[in-house]
Amino acid sequence: MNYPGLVARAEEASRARFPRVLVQVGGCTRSVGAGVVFDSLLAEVTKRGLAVTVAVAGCDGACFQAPVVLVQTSESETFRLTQVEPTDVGSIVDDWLTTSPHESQDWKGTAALWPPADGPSGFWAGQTRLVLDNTGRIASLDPDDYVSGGGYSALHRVISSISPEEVIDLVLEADLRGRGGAYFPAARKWQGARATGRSPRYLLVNAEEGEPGIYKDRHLMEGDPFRLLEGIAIAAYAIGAETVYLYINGEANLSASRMARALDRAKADGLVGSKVLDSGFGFDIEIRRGAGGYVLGEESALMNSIEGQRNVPRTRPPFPVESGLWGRPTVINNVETLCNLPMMLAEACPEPGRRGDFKYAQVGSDTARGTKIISLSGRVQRPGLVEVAMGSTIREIVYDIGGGPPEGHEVIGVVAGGPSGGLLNADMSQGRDMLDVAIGPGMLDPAGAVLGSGGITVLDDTVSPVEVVRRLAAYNAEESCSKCTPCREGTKRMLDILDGLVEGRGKASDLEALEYMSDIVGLGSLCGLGQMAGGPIKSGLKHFKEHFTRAAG
Amino acid sequence: MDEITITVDGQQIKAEKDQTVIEAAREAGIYIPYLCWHPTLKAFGACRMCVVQIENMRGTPASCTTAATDGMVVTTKGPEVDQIRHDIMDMILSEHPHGCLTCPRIDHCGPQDICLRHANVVDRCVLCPQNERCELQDVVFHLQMNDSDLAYEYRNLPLDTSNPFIDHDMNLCIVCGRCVRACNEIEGVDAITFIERGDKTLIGTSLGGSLSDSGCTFCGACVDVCPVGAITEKDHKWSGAPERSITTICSHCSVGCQLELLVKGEKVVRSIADLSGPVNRGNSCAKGKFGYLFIHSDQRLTTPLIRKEGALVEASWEEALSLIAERLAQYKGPGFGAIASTRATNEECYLLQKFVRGVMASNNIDHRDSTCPSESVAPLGEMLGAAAMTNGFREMVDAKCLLVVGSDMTSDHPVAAIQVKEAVRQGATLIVVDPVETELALLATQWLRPRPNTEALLLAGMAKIIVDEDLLDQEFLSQKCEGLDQLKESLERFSLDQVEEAMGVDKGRLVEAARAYGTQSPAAIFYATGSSAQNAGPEIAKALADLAMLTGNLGVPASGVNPLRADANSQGAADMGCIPNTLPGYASLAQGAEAFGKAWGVSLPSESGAGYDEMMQRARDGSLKALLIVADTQRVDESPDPEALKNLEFLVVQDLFLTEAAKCADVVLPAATFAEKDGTFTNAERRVQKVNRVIEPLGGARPGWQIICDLARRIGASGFDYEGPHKVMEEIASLVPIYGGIRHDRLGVKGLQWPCPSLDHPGTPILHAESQNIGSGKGLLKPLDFQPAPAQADAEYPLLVMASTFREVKGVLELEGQVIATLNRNDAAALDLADSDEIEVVSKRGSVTARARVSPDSPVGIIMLAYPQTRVLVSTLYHAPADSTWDPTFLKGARARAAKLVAAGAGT
Repeated sequence: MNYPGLVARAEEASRARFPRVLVQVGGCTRSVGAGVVFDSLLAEVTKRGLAVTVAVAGCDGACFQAPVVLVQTSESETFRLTQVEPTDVGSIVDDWLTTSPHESQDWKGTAALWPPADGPSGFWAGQTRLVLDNTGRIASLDPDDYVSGGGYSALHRVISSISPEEVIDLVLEADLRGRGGAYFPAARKWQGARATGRSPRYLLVNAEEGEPGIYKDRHLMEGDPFRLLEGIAIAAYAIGAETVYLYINGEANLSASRMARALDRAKADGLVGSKVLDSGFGFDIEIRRGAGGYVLGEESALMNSIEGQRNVPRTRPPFPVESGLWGRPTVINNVETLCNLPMMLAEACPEPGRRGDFKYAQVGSDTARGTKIISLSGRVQRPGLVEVAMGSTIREIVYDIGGGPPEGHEVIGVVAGGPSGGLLNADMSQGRDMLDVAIGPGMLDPAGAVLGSGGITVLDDTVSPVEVVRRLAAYNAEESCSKCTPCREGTKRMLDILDGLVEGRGKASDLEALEYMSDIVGLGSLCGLGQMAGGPIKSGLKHFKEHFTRAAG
Repeated sequence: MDEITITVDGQQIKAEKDQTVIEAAREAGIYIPYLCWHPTLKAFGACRMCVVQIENMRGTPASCTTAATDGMVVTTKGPEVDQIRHDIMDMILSEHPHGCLTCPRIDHCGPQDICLRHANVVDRCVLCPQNERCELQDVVFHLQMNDSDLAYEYRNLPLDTSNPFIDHDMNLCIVCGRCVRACNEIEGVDAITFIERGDKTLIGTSLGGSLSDSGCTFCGACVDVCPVGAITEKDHKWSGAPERSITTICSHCSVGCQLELLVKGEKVVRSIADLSGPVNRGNSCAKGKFGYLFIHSDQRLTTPLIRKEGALVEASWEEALSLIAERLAQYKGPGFGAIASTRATNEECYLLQKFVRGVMASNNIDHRDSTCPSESVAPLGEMLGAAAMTNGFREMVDAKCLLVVGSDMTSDHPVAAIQVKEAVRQGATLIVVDPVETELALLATQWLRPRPNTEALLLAGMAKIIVDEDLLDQEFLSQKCEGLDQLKESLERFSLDQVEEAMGVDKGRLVEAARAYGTQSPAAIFYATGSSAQNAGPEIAKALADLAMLTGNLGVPASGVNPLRADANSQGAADMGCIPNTLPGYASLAQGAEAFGKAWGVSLPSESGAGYDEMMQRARDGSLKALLIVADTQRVDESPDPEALKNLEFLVVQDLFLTEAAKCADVVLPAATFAEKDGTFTNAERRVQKVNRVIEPLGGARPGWQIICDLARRIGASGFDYEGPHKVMEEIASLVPIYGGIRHDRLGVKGLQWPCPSLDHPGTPILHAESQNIGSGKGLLKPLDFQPAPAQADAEYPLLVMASTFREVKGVLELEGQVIATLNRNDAAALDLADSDEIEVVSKRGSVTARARVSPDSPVGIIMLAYPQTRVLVSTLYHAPADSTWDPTFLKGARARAAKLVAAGAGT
């Protein structure tokens, strides 16, 4: 189907879309009953014979309010109902779908017009939701809903009027950097692969997301799968990739099933296949599932896994853009990176001199443009998935969006970047409060903390920093692929020492040994897992020195 | 090759463009410590022991994964890299038993001292099989360390000693991954892998089974590369460090691998594939790795035996030689014959035929080759000018198309098969023509499975397709060949439908194969004819030589026609004239009799001689009266039919073991093995390589060249006084033009490939490469008009036996194994056999017990015996000469019958 055809179909569909109930069912909200809420609502609506659409949406990121149900009485009126339980279904149907006005409230959550008439507040106020725009707001697997919101306009525009080389130039100029954690200019990879002149070239979408405390890619795949497919199509067009591998974490079953269903729809609509939008451009997507292990997020280990090899990193050079999957030029992009593309290219102006004159490029800081999706967890009142402009401070994220620590507690620091990142302290013991650091590529703190793929875990006064560091070290030791001797042996040795500290067997020399071994493991390892495994330990020793000194007795 | 200069530790060294820093440094004699790196393997970059500092590069890159670039400045020592190495070694030692390093007695302990009563020592050096030959130890000493700062933890893992060849002690493993990579990169077998992850990672099999379950071929590559004692040979595991090592040539197949034999006392305790071997470059197979055990077998003959009153009794050499000299003097002339050993040296083969022709005045001399007899190679001499491989083994990795006919290469020539498998991995098309299911057949792009004895017809069909579709190399044909018209005419006489009908392979697939061979260049051919071709061997060779000439696949690397002869010196035996009517260097009797007679000071007999089969026939009918068999039996007993031997008036057998033939002999002479003598072998690719004496001959055994010279002198012949084998080679060189430039002291590590006509000639790796001529004139295309003889019905032995080996797979067979006999369901029904029946396959030669597999696809009239590889190796490598029933060649090609085996007592 061509683009005008898609738009016409979406217009037709939108007339019959309302009233509609969207239940935000995601990998995490299912754990608090969202799936049951959906089933009950569907059963109730069917039982009563109501002309109401019941559909699944992704989670909009407000974990603390899940499960969330959106009641769309008409195209222009939506109510957002939070913390809905299956037992609330009867009253929702009574109060919101069969009567008017809608006032009654019989459950513990809240119900409010959405978006609020007086503008966003609290959790929503500090966010800049460009990439998460659709997530939670549209029916995940309804392509017409995606098109109604402007979906595929970027792909249409790119294929019909911009050459692959120009797309690369545009994205280079907009300075889109990889959101997987390394912040390498995405289009630089496309350029590199194209420049080899060899084919086939591959695009490999890294949706492994194995790091604890990170759930952004899963939300995007569950809530806005067509956006990812559109982003993939644009990148594949720019690269000239015939085959795309979408490598989804082995435990992210819901993401995989939604992507598979979305892919089927997209193929049926001619958005993936030999003639994309009836153009001469064609490509195919194959979904692969992770074989287990944090190191799979490392791109060369990921390629080995696809090839059926053991998941250990490869030496570089050669780099994947020259010799990746089966020795072919391969670009590896993260899900979030690709999800930026539709929004960017729907409006970016291809004319030289006016490039950069669009929303994406205006958001962010001097050093980093655009937004970053942050997985905010830990001891905070409003944990969830949030999207903020690059350059926002951790304080804004923790306090303005996250609402600060639970009543009566103090934030003592955060873990930024998970097991490959480090700890930041929130007190003035080091001469400054580190929460005012602005997020962006590179190190947030030389001792270890990084933005990485965007995980921030808040620690308060109920938490022992030594135990936190031990847990992160245990994770690294468990996940070391074992290839490099320093990583295989060193992560285990560091864990042994940390176990001793936590269990009261610490001794004074332990801290020096930890510091020292962190350096050796970092210097002597091939991939990021080993190179950064010392981060939590070194930053913990530096910023929570008194806790460690105490533990070392 | 681009040469660049880099600076290492202040020293300017030359390097090649594609070299890594560690390779360049190592070649210049600068040592950078390493553990996971190995010269035969791809860089892995895991142990991080080889870290260096490089100007303008961040951090401490691993020198094994960093490419050397022009002008690079590298520092291999210094506080920072030393510290990293120390710290990594600390971590390794904290999990590796290291009593060998920390023992307080280490400085005043002599080599191999055993100090079990020394009270202070609990963890002893002698408890490690690798003590004093351990690379980890070497690196630790280089780093001047003697202990780990970290607390030691013993993994306490059970040992795996479940297979007959290789022991695993994972408590000693340092997870360098060399073994896994050797198994993958060198052998392409992938029997072992890393298991688990994190600090639990070790080496094992992917599904946790034993090595034989996971498809291990026991090539021993993992053993050779293991830097510690984690993977060791079971035999001589505790023999400790060797006292000396000598490189020589493997005595098994015709590939000619160089092996380093390690010696302690006068005992060969280990065999390691030599990295500098021009053919094997550090690779070996189970035969090379473990097949040296026969040298010290307690069944070796160590004294001459003489038949007295019907029984063989021990005798002195004096007694034995006198007796032979006295008796043989009576049989000069055509009543005498000799069979040469394909494992004897060139010098011995030359002397034997000189003895037979010059002293005994007979032309009855031949050798036997179980996979590719000399008559299957002879057509190459006639058509291409040289009866040998046109090309070499190593280059085959570059072939774009490989046609393998009738050869179970992975089993018979495993190290040559490595190149074939690697070429396939790199995308080459592999076409296998074989009635038998071989490992390569399963790997092939196209496995064409003709009925036995119709291979030549299939190949003629391919030639027809190549001519009909005009896939000819016209330029090559017009400039270098003749006989094209006659060949074309012969191809017009049959249709593809007839070929299809006769051989049973779909003609569409034949067309595909012919196109692949005809269009993908370079295309190479390997062939053997011993398995099923019966008497059609020469026809196969003819068709293959035609195919190569039609497509111009000659004279360029990775092409040609390449017969795979069976044994270490099959080629040399033929080169040296151990064939009935051909003198050394393939001179015909008519051409060479005068020159050789003059050189030897005798007049040579003119009547034509008998080959092996004819000699046996003449023995039966009584016209051959005396026979000298030189056998050098190493693995399996290949003795001729005892019925024929018993009919002789006088039989002398010179061998390593008391074989079936020796048991029939009047005199048995104990010969020295390849490890006990000097000389040369010529491998299948015409490479003359030096065989070096490693140990003194066992007991009273003597080298074959001495025996034959002693014997000749006793008979009164002159011209048998040599200072040593090198003098024999000088005489060979003076008479045989293709060996003209060959001298022992010229062979070095790489040997010389004939033709090598003069002392300044570098040898000829590829035949027909430079000169316009093929051989001495033009390549001769021969008409292909082979008609397979109709299968002869034989009521007593209705089945033809084919044989191969297979790798055991868990659940199919256990280690002790069983032969699987596959036969067509119609044959099975006729013989009243059902699937899984225990059956006995009986031929005139002997019998084998097997498990029946009834298949609708298996060819009619054939019984396919598949031997479990491990069982075959155990049997043939450990107790030489082995129980022949466990050798796949035992019944191969024989006619047999099969019947259900009835368990004793089950008859009621």
